[in-house]
Amino acid sequence: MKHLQLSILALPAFLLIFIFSYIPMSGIFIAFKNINFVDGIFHSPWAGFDNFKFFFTSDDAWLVVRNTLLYNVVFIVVGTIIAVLFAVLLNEVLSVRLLKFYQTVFFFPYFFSWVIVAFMAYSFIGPYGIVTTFLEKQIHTSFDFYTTTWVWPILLTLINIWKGVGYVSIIFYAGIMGISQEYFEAAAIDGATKFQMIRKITIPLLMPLISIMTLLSVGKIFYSDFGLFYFVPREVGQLYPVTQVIDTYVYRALKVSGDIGMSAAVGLFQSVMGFIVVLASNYIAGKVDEENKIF
Amino acid sequence: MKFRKSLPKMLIHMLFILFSLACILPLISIISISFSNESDILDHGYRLFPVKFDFTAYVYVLYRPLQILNAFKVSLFVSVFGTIVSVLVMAGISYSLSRSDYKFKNQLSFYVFFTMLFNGGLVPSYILISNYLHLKNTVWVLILPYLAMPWFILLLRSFMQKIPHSIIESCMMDGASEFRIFAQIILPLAKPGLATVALFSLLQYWNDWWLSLLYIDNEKLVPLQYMLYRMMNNIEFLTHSSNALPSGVTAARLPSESARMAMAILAAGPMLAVFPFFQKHFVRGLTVGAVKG
Amino acid sequence: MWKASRFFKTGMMAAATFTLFGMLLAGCGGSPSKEGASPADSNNGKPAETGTASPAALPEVKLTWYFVGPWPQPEQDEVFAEVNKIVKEKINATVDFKPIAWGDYDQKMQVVIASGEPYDIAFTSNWINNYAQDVAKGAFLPLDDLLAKYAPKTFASVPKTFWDGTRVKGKIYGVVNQQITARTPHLAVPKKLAEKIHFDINQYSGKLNPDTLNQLEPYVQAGIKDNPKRAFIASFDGLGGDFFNLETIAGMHVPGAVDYSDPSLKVVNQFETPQVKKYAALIRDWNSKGYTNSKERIAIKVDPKGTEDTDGFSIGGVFKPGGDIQDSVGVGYPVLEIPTVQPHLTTGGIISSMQAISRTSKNPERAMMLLELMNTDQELYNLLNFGIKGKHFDLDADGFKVTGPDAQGYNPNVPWMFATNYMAYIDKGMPKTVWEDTKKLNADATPSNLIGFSFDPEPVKAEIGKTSAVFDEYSHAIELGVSDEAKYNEFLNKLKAAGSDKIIEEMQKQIDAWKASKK
Repeated sequence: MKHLQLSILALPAFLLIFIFSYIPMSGIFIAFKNINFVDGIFHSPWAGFDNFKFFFTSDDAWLVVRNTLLYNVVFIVVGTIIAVLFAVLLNEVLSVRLLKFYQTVFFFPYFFSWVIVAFMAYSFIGPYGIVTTFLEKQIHTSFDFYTTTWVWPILLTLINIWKGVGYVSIIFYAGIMGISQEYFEAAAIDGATKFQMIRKITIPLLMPLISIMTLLSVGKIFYSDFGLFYFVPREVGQLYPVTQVIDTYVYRALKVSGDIGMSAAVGLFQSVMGFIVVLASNYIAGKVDEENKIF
Repeated sequence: MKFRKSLPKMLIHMLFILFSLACILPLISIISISFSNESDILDHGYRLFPVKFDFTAYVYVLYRPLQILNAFKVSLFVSVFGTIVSVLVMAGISYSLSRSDYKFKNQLSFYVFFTMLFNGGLVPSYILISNYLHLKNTVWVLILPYLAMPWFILLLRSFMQKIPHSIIESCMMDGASEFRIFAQIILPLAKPGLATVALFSLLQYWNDWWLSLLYIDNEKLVPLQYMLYRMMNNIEFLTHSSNALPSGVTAARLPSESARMAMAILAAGPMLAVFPFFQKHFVRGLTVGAVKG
Repeated sequence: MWKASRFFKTGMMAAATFTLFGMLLAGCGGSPSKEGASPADSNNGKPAETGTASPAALPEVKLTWYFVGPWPQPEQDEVFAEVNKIVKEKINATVDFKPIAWGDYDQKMQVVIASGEPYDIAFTSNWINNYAQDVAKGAFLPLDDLLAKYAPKTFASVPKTFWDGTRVKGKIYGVVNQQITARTPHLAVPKKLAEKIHFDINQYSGKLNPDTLNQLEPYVQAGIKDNPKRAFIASFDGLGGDFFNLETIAGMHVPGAVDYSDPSLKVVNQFETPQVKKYAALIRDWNSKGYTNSKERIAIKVDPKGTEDTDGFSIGGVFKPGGDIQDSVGVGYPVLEIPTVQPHLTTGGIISSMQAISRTSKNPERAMMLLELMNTDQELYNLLNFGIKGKHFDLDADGFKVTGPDAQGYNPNVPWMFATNYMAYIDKGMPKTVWEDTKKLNADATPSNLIGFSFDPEPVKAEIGKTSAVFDEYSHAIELGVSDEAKYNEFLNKLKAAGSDKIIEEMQKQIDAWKASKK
């Protein structure tokens, strides 16, 4: 009875996911096909692993995979730490007005697409940008952001965190809101300091949430935010060694031919690798605490 | 003593004020661009305040106000209706998944999670939606595909997992059905989580242009974000292939930088105001302890 | 461990389910494309109707037409309704217009074509909705018979060489929209600047190439002197092969080109030719003298619209009669333009604007009748292009086109896209003979030795992808003269590593086979 009722509650979402995700998933085999329109996508001839060759035989494959992974690891680690920190500190802001102000303002960057963010960045660090002009006039140094390779890993990390921290910290903030006040009251009676409460109560109780957020990002570790890497560095070729990631490489290579088989092949590779990594992490997370697992 | 207590507080506020500036300044900068004359930008570089105010960009963008108004209505309907339904749908499955005593918990979690990693790509989805479900050029095609988002479901599940099992058990002892527990106990208790997911879902619907790009040909069903996206994408395309294009289609005919920024501000504006509305649901006191007592 | 196997089981189950449904989809998905695959039958079934058949005898049909442009236009529905009135009267059809915005067209057509969705007509070219690729993958119908039967006037009005240019493996797949076909990049300069520095543009007409470009140096320098932003602007895509006396096989960004003066049709890597290297060296020198404003332009892939005072010399676009007047209106100040080199007639120029009929079309003969109508009915053509007379545009006493009271309501400005451009009302300010001039320019151009050859990229698509990515990385810096010689050589080496030799070899193979088949 209990199971039936719970299953009924889950049914609408189950069906929606089935229709909009599982049925189209049959298209995964496109990665192994040589598509032509006379036969249609389902009856086109098989291509074996031919579609995979394009990416794996390219000189840049290693570089872009490395870039993708490094950026993602940094984004996950630094991004999570900062978002949790913000959530915890926001919880310490007692003035309701200020809290509202901060949270609203932190959300601003999230509302603009990467194209607009690229413009914002350009209006600050472009040749006539606010920061560049300031550097020239006040400090008398001329700094060319768009041709200096080493600044970009830092810039992209900062911009990515700047854009997402308002969004992610809301999750952790809501998580803290869900923690029973009793714990803190009891701790206060025992004379615990604020810092001790955060370390011994807030963080441990947030752990399942942090863990699931991390696991979900880990599954996407071979993917990257296309807009960030494509628009923000404004496609300056000299920066490619540090800004090119799998998604931008594939886009640039295939924009001419628009071959759906080859892009499907790279997508499948990204998914399978992500799947393997996430299975491993899920297993490890489960070892620490059963609650931390996704499934 | 007093100083030691207030110093950390001051540090917190300093950090937040600095970050607030980092969030506000770029916004001001694009607002300034939207009110600037193109040639002023060329002559004076980018500035936080326009050299002189110029409304040409807004006149250009709002040339046909009915078009924008209609797009706004589409966006609003899709976002509000979609969010309400999707939160209900996702709360249902999330609750079941959060119950450690539910028989299919693991399988169903996997079922949900798997779709985050693997997808069949664009063409199969397109065939399904346009040739079989016949949803092309309907408002539903903008809503249905995002009703059950795996990421949000798993997030909501983690929020619900924090509700102590003892509450649910005591309700079951009283003979309440799962539906009643869900509606009367879980939903109120999970309010911070629900508010979070509702906010995210609203943003997802509001910011989406992808579905309209693929499935909407009818101008009357075009949402605001797609209008913005189309404008940006046209510029991106024309500028990239301007030399391959037949003569006469010159970059000169593109909307100015100011017009693009004006459009971005019009598209994002309504959502900038929506956040405080959600915020009241994040308040303290809606905790497990409070309800129990 | 048993847990892991349970995931595995669930995964297998999921996999099994979606395979099952995939098959289900496949079963149905295959059929529409099959249906459309035999249009010849529908031709045979009916008595041969011609474009002149009385409309009443034709059953009513609906035609879907995808095309590109600066859509949507605010009052497009009104204009399309007017167009449909005429179309209905003449060929008893209604057109479901699918105007797609520039940036969305490629993506949209890719899914529409790949999904086998039924539609009738689509705009295709070598720069958007790629013709060679669509034909190679079987997206369009061969048109030879349909043209002869249902569009005899259009067929007769287009020169035979042009039809040869559209042929793929001997068959025509696109209806050419006639216009400027002999494409050469132009040199443009603001009139005000030219007068100020006493630059006589006409003496260079058709005489600019990598060897003579340095003659412009004193003028470029003079322009830069009063405004450092007045850069010399040219990109590889803008120069095209033509500026270097080369015909590129698959575009400037894909290695592989044949020198116009080489009758043996030997394919070379354009970036390894002496002329391209010479150009790169010149630009490098110009950059060191500050002529390219590279510091600012490196982060701008496309140069924003400037003003009369900030624009300088630029090479790009396509030279055409009346083009300077059109461009002057576009940029908002008087511009002078000349062709840089002597024009050639190439396949690329011919196929740059065409309408094709889809394999999935249920009424290919009616679609062809619509194209014939568009190419012969001047009033209809101008209505679709410029909107309603007296509202969106007007004709002055001399018959020139002027803006109407509600010009912003409908002004797609793509007359080269719908049908033959020669039927368009002539803009006020342009010479009355503009279309005759254009025809003459096309007729006088030297035909390339490669007309009628089309390259099938399928065997080397992986290499084309990889070399495109390399081109993307290096080209802009080379165009600006920022790359030193070592960097240029690095570019060549990376092209090689990405498979440029293999592409060139394949091109040579196909050209040789084509040459042999012609004899």
